[in-house]
Amino acid sequence: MGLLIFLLKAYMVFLMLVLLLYIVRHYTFTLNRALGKQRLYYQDVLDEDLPTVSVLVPMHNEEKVARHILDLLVASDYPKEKLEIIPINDHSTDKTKEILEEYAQKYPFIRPLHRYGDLPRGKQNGLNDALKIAKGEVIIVYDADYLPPKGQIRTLAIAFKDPRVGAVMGRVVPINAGKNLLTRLLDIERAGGYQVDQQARYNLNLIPQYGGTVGGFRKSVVMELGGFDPRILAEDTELTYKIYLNGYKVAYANSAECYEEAPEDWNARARQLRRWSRGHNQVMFKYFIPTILSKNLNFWQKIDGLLLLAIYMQPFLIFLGLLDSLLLFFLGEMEITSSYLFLLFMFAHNSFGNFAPFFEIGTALVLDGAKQKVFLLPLMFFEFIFNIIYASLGFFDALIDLITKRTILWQKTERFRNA
Amino acid sequence: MPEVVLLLALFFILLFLPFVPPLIELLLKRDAKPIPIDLERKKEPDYFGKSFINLLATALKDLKIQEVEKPNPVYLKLKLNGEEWVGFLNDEKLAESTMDTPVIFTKDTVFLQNHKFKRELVVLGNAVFKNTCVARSLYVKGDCVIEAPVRIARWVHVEGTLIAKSNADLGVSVYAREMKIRGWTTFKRAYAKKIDTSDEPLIDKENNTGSVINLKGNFGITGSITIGGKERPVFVDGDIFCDGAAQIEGDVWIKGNVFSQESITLKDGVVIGIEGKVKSVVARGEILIKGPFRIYGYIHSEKRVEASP
Repeated sequence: MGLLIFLLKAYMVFLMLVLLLYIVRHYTFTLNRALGKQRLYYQDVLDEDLPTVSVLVPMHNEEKVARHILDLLVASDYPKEKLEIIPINDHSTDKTKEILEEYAQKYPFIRPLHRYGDLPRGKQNGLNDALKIAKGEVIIVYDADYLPPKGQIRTLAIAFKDPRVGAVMGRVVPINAGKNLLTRLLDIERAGGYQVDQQARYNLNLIPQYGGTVGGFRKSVVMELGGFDPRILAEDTELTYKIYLNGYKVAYANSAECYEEAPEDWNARARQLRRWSRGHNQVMFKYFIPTILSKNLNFWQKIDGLLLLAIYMQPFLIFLGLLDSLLLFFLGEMEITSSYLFLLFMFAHNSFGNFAPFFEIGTALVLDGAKQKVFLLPLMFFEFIFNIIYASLGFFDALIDLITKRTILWQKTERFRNA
Repeated sequence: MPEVVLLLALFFILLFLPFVPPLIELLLKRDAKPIPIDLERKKEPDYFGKSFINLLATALKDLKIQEVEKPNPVYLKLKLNGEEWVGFLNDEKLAESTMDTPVIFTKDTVFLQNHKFKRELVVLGNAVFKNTCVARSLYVKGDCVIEAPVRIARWVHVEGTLIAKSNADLGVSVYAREMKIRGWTTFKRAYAKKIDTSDEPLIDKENNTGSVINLKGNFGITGSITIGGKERPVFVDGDIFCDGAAQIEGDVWIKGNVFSQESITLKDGVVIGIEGKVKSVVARGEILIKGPFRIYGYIHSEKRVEASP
């Protein structure tokens, strides 16, 4: 019993130290974004010698949204002789195929890729197939529900003029922010994630994440690195690590804002979150050690890289901590240590630490000029509880994937837009 | 017992208190819209001048400009950003020393007097500034010659050639077909097919038969970089991207872009770009230009560009 209590207490101390790292990270990012030196993105480089670009749009039953994104891509100001658009029709059973063919007839630079039959489904598989036919030096990826502005392809592609850039990432903004409580919370969560978190990582020369949409990568680099691993659901996170471990970097373009459609019901959000967590944790299992051993990352990039890798394991660790605290309570052993200094630390942790993510999101909303949205912050508490549950389930999924090597099936996020 | 009830009530009030403001916001939806994204947005170096002149053209579309050909100034109420008075003049002498409304000179104008234009100044012909002038923004349909100190707060748009012979602060954004800087000039960004500080032939127009250092490819530099072409000319056939400062001086011809997260210094004969193609010099910090210099394209500093020929 003594050993069990010791282990339970030791876990609580471990958890607090892990959370302390994340707290320091949140505050560092927030203060950097609010007061620090902001790194310049490449959007102001005007150059007539633009790279050739292939825009890939993975689609599975996207009849509700396909026309919207294709119309906007056609309206892009990128020189059409340097642009091709490859919508990847991945086993669609609705009218997606007909819509794509209609656009391909009208615009010669739209070249759909239809995937049916035995070809395995999934974004990563579709991207791998599209890479084989894509002619562009630069690949830009949009999910089908995105609404790219006219000048965005140029804004993203220009970053690849810098030979150190392996991938680029823009900013995602939910267009249906005001729909209901969930979309409002997702809207402010995204603001924190991009306006503060991603920009600060770019400022501090850490690891901004390529997010798999509103972003792109250098085709030659990805082909050289073997394309996307079909067994990994978070192909975006995997690419981020591949790129950094091979000496390239990800550029973050905060000004390349693009509307997306956020999930409007909690079930769809739960499935999305679980898939993200599963994929991200798959990447964590694969890249944790290589990140530590990498010669292409500096000390701070390794720290940031490891914390980013473990971000979807953190809710699971907190979940374990909650169980741990319940056990300790019923065992009458809540006093982890009798040191007053430790108590002081716990109080400080509770007073400041728990507010770190709120502080980060609040700062993002102020930077966006959306000050009324700050009032929603207390409701994020419920989303955090929700995240703990579904991110933990995603962690278990990834753990089972690792042990059983089972076949991975892609689940698309439901669309809510009216066609 | 009442104390227990009171304590419980207090407990629940304090527990739910943080959720009152969010519930009010959820019900009232004061800020429920997503942040605005302009789907038409693209990078246009002539955006300010073009937008203003389009607004003006739309407001004037039913008006015949010949009606203004009178000796006295004419003021019309036009819808620009909002409804406002706009002055139409055909002689600089008709302008007062301080003008509060947007002013449009309908033909070639030589500014002999000292003026302060608190709003946009438009010249629908060529413009010559022979006396000091302050304006919020300047649009010139023809060529523009600055022969006396001029200070523009926001943007300058010259459809023809802009020649700055005197000290000039050209504000945030300058657009011209060609830009000749012949006096001390500052701005934040400028776009022209050719921007130069000297008439003398530079390295891109000379026959370089002697020993030349040729560098090919694009360069990404973690720290600072210095490129000196004083002893031997240096040709860089590519772009330079650096995290530190970039100092380039002497006979150096960079055929691509120069980008720095710090400052950029360009001195004594540097040429950027190739005639007929747009290339850029972009810095987060200051860009300092000294002596002969030429760029085909765009200069952009988040702080300030200072050019002294």
